[in-house]
Amino acid sequence: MDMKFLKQYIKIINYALIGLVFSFASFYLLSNMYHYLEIRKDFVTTFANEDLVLKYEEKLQSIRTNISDFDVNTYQGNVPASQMTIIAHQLNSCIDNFQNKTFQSMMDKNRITIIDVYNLREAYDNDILGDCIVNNLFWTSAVDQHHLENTILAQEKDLIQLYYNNLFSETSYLKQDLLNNSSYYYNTAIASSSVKSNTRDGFYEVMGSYNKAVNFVEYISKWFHDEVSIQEENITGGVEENE
Amino acid sequence: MNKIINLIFCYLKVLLLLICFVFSFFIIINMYRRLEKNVVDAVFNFIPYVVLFLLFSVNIVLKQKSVNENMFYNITCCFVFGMLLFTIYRTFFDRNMVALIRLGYNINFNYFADIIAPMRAMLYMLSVSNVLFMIDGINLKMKKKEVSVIEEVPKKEEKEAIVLTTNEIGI
Repeated sequence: MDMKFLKQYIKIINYALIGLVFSFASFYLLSNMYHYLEIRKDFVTTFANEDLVLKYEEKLQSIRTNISDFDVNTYQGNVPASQMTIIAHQLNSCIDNFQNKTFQSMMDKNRITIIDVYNLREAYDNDILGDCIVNNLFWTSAVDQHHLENTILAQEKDLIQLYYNNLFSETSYLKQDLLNNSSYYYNTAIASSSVKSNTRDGFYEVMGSYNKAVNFVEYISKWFHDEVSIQEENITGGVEENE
Repeated sequence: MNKIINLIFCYLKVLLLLICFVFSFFIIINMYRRLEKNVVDAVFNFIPYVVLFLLFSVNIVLKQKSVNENMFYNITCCFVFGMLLFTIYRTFFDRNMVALIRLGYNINFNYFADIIAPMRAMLYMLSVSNVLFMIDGINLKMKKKEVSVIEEVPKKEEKEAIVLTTNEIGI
């Protein structure tokens, strides 16, 4: 009688144990499948026709026209011509950085995946922040009255510093967010948000960063254009007065 | 029909166990090498595989019906290994996970690390339930023997009775 009772008791425990294993496996399989499908949700849009991309292209065109006014032979401003030539060269190389390979490869796409967003973010870090903002234009954060006398750039030092702080911290959240998409544990809000349809949000976030960076370069190019045109106006004004 | 399906699951679980073990071994060893950890420490992750493989071998060699003919157990084992194979597939081939590209090893260690603890827990639980089924089976066998002894007694008596009757007749 005792053996029978013990045997039945073992059987109950045993089936409960297998049931538990079955439910564990079901949970992990279902949550894996959900994660598998969720990170495959692409953002269907024509990249080249997106508003943020069009604005970005407009800004780049504006930078090109701002630089094109500069002619080293006719320039006679406060900032030395050699320095202005270097700045023009830096702005030109910034345009190349903005039109990086990753960005160019996206122009034909009609469907954006999470990996495209990741690649765009990486290109933002390497080409735009690294090459353009740090290598070419970081001197603008250290401008003082002695370097560029009485120019707008020297007076707007705080604003430029604000621009830099903003640009450097821009995509750090997105970076963490994208890396978290390899985990299907929904124990944190970040992990959860990174899994649920993150492609669209990530795309707008990274393109927003591209636009902020191009805005800053356009701001510098406007200053450059003003420097060139003010001097030209002075020269033409001076010539008219003489006449 | 049920017996055939059960037999398929019974041998399939062993095959799936071996496949899961080979790939898990490859992933975990590479993970430890990448992290520059002592590879010997990785052994603890494979103990449940070895234990379960030994138990399956014992079940098949000793033809333990209590385990081999338990469909629920066999299906659960196949289900667990199927789930593990799905995670292994994703570890190697799911290119929509950013860590796979970022790590640059063509193996998503970040993702597989999440499944190691549940994998070990489930394999240990399957081992425990296997042992319990074996205990259950031993009890059953003892009972069957008792029943057969009781059944055999009247047969002997009958034989003796037949012999007696033939002696009495004088054949």
